[in-house]
Amino acid sequence: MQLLKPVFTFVLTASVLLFSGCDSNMGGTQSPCESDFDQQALFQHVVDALILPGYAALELSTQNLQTAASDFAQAPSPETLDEVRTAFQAAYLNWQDAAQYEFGPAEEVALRATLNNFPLNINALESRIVGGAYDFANPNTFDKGFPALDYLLYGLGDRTDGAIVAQFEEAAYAEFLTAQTAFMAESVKRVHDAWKNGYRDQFLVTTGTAAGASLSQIINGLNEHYEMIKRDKLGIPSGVVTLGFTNPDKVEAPYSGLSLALAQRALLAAEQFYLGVGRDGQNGPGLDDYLEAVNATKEGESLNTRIQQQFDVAKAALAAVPAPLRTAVDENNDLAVTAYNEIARQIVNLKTDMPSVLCVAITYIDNPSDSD
Amino acid sequence: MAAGAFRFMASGWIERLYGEPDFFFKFYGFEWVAPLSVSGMYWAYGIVGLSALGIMLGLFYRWSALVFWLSFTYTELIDVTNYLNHYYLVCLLGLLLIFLPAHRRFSLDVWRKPSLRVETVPAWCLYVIMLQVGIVYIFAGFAKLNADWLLRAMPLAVWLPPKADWPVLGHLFTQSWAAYAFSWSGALYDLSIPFLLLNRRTRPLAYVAVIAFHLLTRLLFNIGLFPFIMIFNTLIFFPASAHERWLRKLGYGSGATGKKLVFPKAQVSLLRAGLLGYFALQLLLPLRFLCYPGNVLWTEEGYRFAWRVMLVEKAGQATFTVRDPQTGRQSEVDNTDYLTPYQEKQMAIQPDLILQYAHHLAKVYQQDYGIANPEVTVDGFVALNGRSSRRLIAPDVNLAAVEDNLWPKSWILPFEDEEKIAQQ
Repeated sequence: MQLLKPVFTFVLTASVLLFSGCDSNMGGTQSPCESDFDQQALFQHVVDALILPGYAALELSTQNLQTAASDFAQAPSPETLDEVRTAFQAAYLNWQDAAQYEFGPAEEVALRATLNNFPLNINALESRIVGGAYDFANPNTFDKGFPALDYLLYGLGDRTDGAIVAQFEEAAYAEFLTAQTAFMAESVKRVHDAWKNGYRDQFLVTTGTAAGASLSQIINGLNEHYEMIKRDKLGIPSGVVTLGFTNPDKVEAPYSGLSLALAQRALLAAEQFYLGVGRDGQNGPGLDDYLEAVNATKEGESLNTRIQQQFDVAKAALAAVPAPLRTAVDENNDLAVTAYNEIARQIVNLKTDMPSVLCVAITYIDNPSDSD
Repeated sequence: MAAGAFRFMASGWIERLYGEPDFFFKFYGFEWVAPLSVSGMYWAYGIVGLSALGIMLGLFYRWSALVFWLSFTYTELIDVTNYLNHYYLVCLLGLLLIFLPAHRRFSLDVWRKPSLRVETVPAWCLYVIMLQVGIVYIFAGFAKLNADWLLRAMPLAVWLPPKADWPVLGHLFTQSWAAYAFSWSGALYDLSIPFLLLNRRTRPLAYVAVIAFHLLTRLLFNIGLFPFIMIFNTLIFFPASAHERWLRKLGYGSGATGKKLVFPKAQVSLLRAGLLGYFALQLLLPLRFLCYPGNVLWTEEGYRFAWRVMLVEKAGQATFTVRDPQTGRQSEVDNTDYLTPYQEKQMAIQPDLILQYAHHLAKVYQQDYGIANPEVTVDGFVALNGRSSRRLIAPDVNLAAVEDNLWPKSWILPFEDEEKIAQQ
């Protein structure tokens, strides 16, 4: 102990000196992971201005779809077909806003997989219709949801109104359509209700940076869906991941030709989610403000500025692709690939930089075992 | 360790680690190690567990130790992404145990064959374990003496706040000074604890610190059995008399033979040479990072086998492009086609794994798509310890043509700190 005394004294003095030194030196710069940013204000705005209104709009439009679909199923005609198509388009577009909120109640019922697994497996769908054994809640099948409706309302037979109306004279088709749209409306309502009755309040107070905390849910939700926009909506159809050989049949909504409109809406929704732009167009607290609050920079410039600029570039590149995407991937492949690249270029900002400077982990990729 | 093996089997990790991937990242020089089928891996872990039990009970000790070391090392050699420092420590201790007479007193072997029983063993038998444990602590401590750990409290500043819901201590974790306090006391602990354990007067207090430190890390972090390994390992610093006292309390102590274990001369010189070589390697391996340019936390050249424990919070992404030089056709790779999410996450932050994976992609595209000499490039970014990301790999280098070796990797881009960039 005699021998160790001077050592202890030295270490203690040294650390006291260093600590006091640090405080004065580092007063100016922000400590990582620490900020005065009001997380609860962010959550409240995101929930009350984006998520809840988003689900409300989706609930209304899926109910309209259900009504129009059962009208059409009871009395198939070009007029009722027209109405159900209009309702389908409105609901599908609204879905693009809500698709990125796949946490909490939506994750519990796998809303995204049950509503919009694509590309559609037509054979599987046809045998469901004929067999009458529906399995709408299964997240692993590709024979249901919006893609099934896209095919049934636009792609049957020779794709003329007459052929489609005629097909729905068959009871099996009419029954499937009614049941499917009812299920969709019911699922959305269930998720919306869960948010209103309890999950909202819980979400608002789950602050912090831990996995499962609301900030982590928002960032992970945004990123996971953003990657799906990149890969599923554009990458796979345009051949980026298949040596340049295109896959026009694998676009989202190939029969209605809505693909590009849906992709544009999804990209816009991601930007608004990031910025905190509510459904009423009001810009409130968002991840952009959070990044500014922690002075996040990348290569000497504001990370937020870079993200906003990249969203603009990506939106412009996507807008330059001529509709429908199904033909554009072959006829204007360079434009589709450019749009893909510009969307992809944002991912490093959203998925690697933003979580790192906000000290949040990307958790939709999990650790199977221990760490050290 | 038996508990560890059975925990592994019970938790379904075997399927996830050995069943799901169809590509495995190899350790340099151990490319020939291949996994068994899932049921085969269950057998392997069963052997690990049984041989660990054998060591613990002192039953057929030498064979148990040998089998344990072989089987455990085998399971750890299968995939680099599963590398953890504490598994490496278990491999090393397993190797040492083979040569130590740890079964000659309180064991089933002695019960089986009483003539094996001895009261004392040469002191070096204890010293090698102490030295090994000391090396772990000291190198872990030195590794913490870096700017991020000491001056930015990174990565603890990222890891502590999520534990804010803890009772009593929780509130502390959100305070930035707490992260500094934890960082500094962690470094101080690692650097001083071997000496405090060696000193008779500080030993009891030091052991209390060992228990407190490792229990705290166990509760804070997802680090499996490591804390318990260290808590039990450090018991070896206590003198035999203390252990005897406990044995007597357990009702085992009578029938002393007074026999001393003496190694034959020839064995001793052989062991001496072996241990010298072993510890020389143990001292040099962690220092090999000095042979590489750049920050070891960034390049990870010389990172493994060096007791760099809990040092970095890294996230990365690596997007690979395979190009056919004949036709100019190219494809972006969806990593989920070849890797599990966990493998992908680990690969993206470790340059040598990026290279291995690039070679694998070249092979796949050659075989499956008939592309001769495909070019593989990567768009790879890594964010280190709460910073925004930087590019990790030179994006225009054809990794398929880069040979994997232990020389410095020129295609790793240097790490530039944000502050430096801002000053330029």
